[in-house]
Amino acid sequence: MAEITASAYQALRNYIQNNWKYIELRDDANNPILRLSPADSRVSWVHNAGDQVLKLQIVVKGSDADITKPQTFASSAIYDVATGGNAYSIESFTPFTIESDMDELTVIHEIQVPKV
Amino acid sequence: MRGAGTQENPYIIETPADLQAIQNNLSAYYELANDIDMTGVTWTPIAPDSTNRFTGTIDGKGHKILNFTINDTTKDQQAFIVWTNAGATFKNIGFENAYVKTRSYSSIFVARPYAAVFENCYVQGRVEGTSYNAGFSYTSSNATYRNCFVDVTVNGSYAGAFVSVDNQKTVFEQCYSNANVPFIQKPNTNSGYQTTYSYCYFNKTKYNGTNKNGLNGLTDTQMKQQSSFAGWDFENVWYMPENDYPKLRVFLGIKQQTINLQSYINPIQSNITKTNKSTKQIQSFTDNLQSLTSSKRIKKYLLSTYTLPIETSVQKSNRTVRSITQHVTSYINPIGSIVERKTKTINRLLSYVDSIQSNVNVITPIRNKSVNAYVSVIENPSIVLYLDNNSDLNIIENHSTIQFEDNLSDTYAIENPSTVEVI
Repeated sequence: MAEITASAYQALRNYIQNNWKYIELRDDANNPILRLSPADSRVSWVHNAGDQVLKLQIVVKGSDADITKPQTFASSAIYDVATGGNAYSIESFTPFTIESDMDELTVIHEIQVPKV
Repeated sequence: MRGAGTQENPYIIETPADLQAIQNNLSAYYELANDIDMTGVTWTPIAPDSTNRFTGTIDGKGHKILNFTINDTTKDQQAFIVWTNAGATFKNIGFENAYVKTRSYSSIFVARPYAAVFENCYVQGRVEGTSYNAGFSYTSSNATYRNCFVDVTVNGSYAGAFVSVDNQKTVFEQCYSNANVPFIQKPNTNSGYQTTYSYCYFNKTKYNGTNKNGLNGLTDTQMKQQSSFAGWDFENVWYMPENDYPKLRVFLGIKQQTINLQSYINPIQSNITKTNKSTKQIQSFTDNLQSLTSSKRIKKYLLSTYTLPIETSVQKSNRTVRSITQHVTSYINPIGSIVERKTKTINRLLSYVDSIQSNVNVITPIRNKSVNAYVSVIENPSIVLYLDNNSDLNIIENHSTIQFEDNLSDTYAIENPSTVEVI
């Protein structure tokens, strides 16, 4: 049994970047708040090309039209579809509540392929 | 006061008394736990002696000192802190509704900062005195003001918004003044000691000062527009509210958080189950068969050549009249026997001639009588066997030849020239 090659991992990363591009933020009751992809200006891949760690970043502000204040964020999930589907990665974090227009939450969801 | 005064465990300031207690340790680390309301507090300036200056750090953590007041016109050089030396650091501290009224040389924050650093701080209030008063500092040397602003009203001669007099090398970075007096009353212009500005602005509607390199005046309207503040960080440091002057984010209670989440995929191992399914064309062949035939030749040669007895007979009959001895000679020429055999095998061939006997009888008269001798046919009793060759039938030819040998022996007539005399 041998580990797959570096090229194979890069192919997997390319696939993930092209498909697992929807990031969903959920509240502390695990209810989805919003699910966005890099098609939205608030979401972007922020890793460098060829990096072993893929980084999908979402930045939400209290002034965003789709945020109803106060809003608590407690977890992040990765999908490959805009709606429905099954989450491929779910990570929780210390709840953060946006209370004013100036409040801002940045979530960087990393996917290590393979584990660093 | 909670804390140990170290960088890792600073003193925690929660009350005006805690704030005043800074004078007991001028080199410690301090943090504000909350806004400090100084209403009704008579303040005694910290480090009033130039030989015992403040060198510690105060981090306001975005909290404010409210209603700070000094009102004593009998004194000069009054402020929250008077003297500092290298190492003195002030950050994230704001004075709101401060009021300082002295005779001269006074300010709200630090009167005589030397080598101090002010970062993310602001002063809002009023300073009154005869002369050389300012919002932040009466006079500064080698001090740095970074991301700070003043929103003050200062009176008296030689009044300044930030500083009244720069003794040397004071640096301003991303700062603005919103005051009725110059950004700095007496900047240092001496070579090597000049005051320097970087992306600094003043409200020229309130005070129409002169632009300098890195210091530019903006109208009151421009002062409320983010686009007017080139070189500023409005993402992390500053915030531009609507129809207001720029504010420091650290004081607005703006919550900003960056969360890093990590998911991972374990290394993938490949495992191969290999099933071989092959069809092979099998070719079999037989080399030329070689048979080895042992030829056993059994030959029985019975060669016999013989010559039948050759007889010669001479007879002599006489009547003895007289007795005489006659010599009768009879002879037979040599008889030869020849056996030939054509073969590579050398066999023992035996050729022989039986004893030849001659008997002479005298028959009288006998004269010129022929004596015949004959030779019988020589038998050839040889036997040839044929052996079958089952792999490759070859006919073995028997090349043996049998020769009939004539008996060339000649028998000559034996003459008997003998004469018989009757005696």
